[in-house]
Amino acid sequence: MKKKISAKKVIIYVVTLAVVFVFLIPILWLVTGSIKDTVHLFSRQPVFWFRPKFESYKAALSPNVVNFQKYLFNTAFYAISSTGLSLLIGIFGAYTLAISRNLFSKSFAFWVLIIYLVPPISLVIPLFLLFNNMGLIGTRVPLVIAYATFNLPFVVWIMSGLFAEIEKSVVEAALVDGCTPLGAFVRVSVPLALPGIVVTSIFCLIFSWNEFLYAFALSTMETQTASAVIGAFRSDTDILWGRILAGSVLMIAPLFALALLLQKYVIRGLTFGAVKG
Amino acid sequence: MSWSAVKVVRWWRSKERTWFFFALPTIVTLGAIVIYPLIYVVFMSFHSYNFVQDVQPVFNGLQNYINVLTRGRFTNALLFTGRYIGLAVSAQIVIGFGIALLLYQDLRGFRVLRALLLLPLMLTPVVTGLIWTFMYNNEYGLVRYLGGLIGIKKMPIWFNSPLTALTAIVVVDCWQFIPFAALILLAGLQSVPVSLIESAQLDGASYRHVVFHVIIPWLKGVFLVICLVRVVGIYKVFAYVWELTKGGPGRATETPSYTVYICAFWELEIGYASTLAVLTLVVGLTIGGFLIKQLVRR
Repeated sequence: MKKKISAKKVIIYVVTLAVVFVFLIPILWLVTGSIKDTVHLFSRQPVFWFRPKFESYKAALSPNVVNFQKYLFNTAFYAISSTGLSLLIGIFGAYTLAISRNLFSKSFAFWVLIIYLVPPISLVIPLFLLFNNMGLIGTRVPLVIAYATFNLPFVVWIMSGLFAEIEKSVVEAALVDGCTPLGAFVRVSVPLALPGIVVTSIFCLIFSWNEFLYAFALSTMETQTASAVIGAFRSDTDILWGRILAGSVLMIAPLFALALLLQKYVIRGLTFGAVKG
Repeated sequence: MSWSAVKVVRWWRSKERTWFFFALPTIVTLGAIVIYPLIYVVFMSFHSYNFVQDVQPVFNGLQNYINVLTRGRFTNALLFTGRYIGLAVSAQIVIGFGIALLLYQDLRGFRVLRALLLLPLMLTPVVTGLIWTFMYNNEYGLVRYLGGLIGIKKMPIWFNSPLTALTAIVVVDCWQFIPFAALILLAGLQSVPVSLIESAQLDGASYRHVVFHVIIPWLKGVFLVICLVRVVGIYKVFAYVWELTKGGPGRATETPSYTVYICAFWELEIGYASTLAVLTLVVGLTIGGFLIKQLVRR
């Protein structure tokens, strides 16, 4: 039907391209800003053509200036450990939700959902006080645990949906054949749910990587994340802006790589449960 | 059904017991890292405790709650968030749906555009706030320049009046989350049976008719999911306010999260901030629970 009308096609092309371009402007401005020199960065008339300069990156990564790689490492450390921990614990809980259909499992589901809805701001004060009393502020423990407060319910909730999609008969057959519940879980369900496990962990990693409130409140200079460094930045001094833009680009680069490489998985993850039937 | 001793015993003896042990690590962990801290914050909310001046929290009953109600700062934060949610969520759904309809055409190369649209969504919220702060600047910012291109001579000083500050934050939120709405709605569109659309077209329905009477009713659940995700998301917003306005001008753009953070970690009034945190929790769970109920009912 539409193949004949090429004028219409052209319009759709132009409009869609324009829309997507508008959405890319801030990102392009961030990336180009990080390779501009100070004069161009603060020019009243925006500069679109310039010789790229990488001074900002040098400063951001230099150990005795900003040492941004340390904070990137911290961020990665928290993201990976918290995701791993949540996955290890939550995957069993998710299995209960998917397989068992009794009152216990129902109230368990209810509580997991409630906990997933808890706003982080309600937890940040007691977590701070508790970690402070235990003398743990300044170590890496608080953020691994704080990130688990949202990653763990997320894992349980999402993974239970994935386990529920696995044919129940497959699991039951394994149980009848003499598999213990744990055996059926390890040998049958987990391998079948593996792609879903990957998607779930990617999302946990992204959530943790981007987190700001806990990172800001529960860390010190040594243990803070890249997001906390960027958030703490407040300056009208021109030279510092370039550095923080460079740091920001370094921080979002892995996310963009992930989005472009694993596009299919990320989009599927976004629509988990949102689009069914 | 309810818990009764007989049922519990019968359940314990059944095979179902195994599943309890599977759930146990999750229950213990969530109890320790979420439920226990929440009980602690409720406890603190009945105390007066300045982190620097006071050695011990001092019990002061409902005084904090009375203060919250009489001071109005928290109510203002809730009202601001309400306006923010109203504007941002409706804009995201309408514009997101428009973009989804465009991408649904699935012309050559649209796959790449879809991937590019994913990028704003991936951006760290603090970085989003940072780059937009830079762009909103009236001296060297890109927004002023782009406004000039489309004929806006005089840009408002964005963060000087409550209304423009709200607009600025909503624009940033929309920039980051319209792609989210668009991509989810696109997946929804792809789940609409082609036969449904074709039969409507055979009956002589116009494109507009198909959109409003076939596609939109079909996508009702997806719209509701986007509402849920965004309402809950905006309710928790902290990074944008922190980066863009610091709650200003005055306290006009404070969200509940921002107010709690400032009370706790800047003014160091831990007791009072705990009360605000408890109220934020109660309001948040009520809104979230209500929306989930709507979703389950369908």
